[in-house]
Amino acid sequence: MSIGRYERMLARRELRRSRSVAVSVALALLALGAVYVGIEGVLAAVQRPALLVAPADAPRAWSAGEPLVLGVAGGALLLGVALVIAALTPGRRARHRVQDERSVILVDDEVLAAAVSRHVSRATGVAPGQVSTALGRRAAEVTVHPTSGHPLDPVRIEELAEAYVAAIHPVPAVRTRTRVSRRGVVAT
Amino acid sequence: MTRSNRTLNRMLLALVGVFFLGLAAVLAWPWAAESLPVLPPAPRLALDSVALWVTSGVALAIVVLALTWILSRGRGGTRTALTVGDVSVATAAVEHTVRDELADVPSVLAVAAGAHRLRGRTALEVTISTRRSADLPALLERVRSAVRALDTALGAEVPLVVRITTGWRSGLAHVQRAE
Repeated sequence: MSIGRYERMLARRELRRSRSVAVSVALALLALGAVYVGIEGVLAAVQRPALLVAPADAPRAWSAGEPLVLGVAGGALLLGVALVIAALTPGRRARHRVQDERSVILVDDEVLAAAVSRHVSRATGVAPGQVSTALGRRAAEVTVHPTSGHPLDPVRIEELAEAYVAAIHPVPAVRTRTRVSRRGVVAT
Repeated sequence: MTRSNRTLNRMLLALVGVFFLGLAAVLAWPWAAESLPVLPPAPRLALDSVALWVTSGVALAIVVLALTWILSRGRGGTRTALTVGDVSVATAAVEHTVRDELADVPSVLAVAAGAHRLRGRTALEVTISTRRSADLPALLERVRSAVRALDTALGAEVPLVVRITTGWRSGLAHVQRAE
């Protein structure tokens, strides 16, 4: 048994960033452009000098490929590419869902990585500052800097980290990799 | 969390993006046709007063639609977690229940609850701020039992999201060393 459809939708919404702000910014830029076009139209209608290009001169400026027209084209190109990229990329947040039958439980990657580091440091007796964990969506890499003169067993650390992550049960599963640094740290 | 439709957001974003790309292509057409003979030459255009009015009308419509969209964002938040008949339960009550359940867990710094309407249902969100190096499996066990206690108190299983984060306060709180 796992969570229902509605809960899976909630989880998806929480694991991915909303594009709501991006849409608002894009629409605001579009509206600004439209306001500019409107202002030039009104200025021409009441026969006042144009801000940049009068509507009557616009076709000629366009045909001639004036720098102003090309500059606007370049800006629109960059903006368009940025918006299409924002629309298509998943925009993942640094969080993991944890297996649960009742509710959507989400753990920030910061908390998850710190917990793994803490567990490895406690279990091996290495100082907390000598263990660090880098967490991706489906993999975690634990790096241990051993204290000089106290060799560590990489296999045992691997087992420790793997069992700990398995007990937390992230969905999708997270593989662990451990690395024992060649250079030791002088004990304090 | 808001109730905005995520797919609609992305479709609109793609649409505006494609519009800007099209605008760039049209603006650069005469210049590009000069250096690239493959492209058909740009037509000679003239703006008469009808074209000017149409352009202004379209510009006004774009401004109105864009502002309507921007100003209608971010609704759907509610303080009512659950309504049964005439009785409604505030999110504050949910917050107190979970906070009491987790009161003796040393790694928990703060508990906050909120609710919002999404597709005809109310979704609860409980945020638990912890110390950075909390004992996670033990904490998760306590969170699960707190949720069970909440279900018993409410008498119903409300759609629930639990977030375990480190708040700004956890930066100030020192790491717990005592076993």
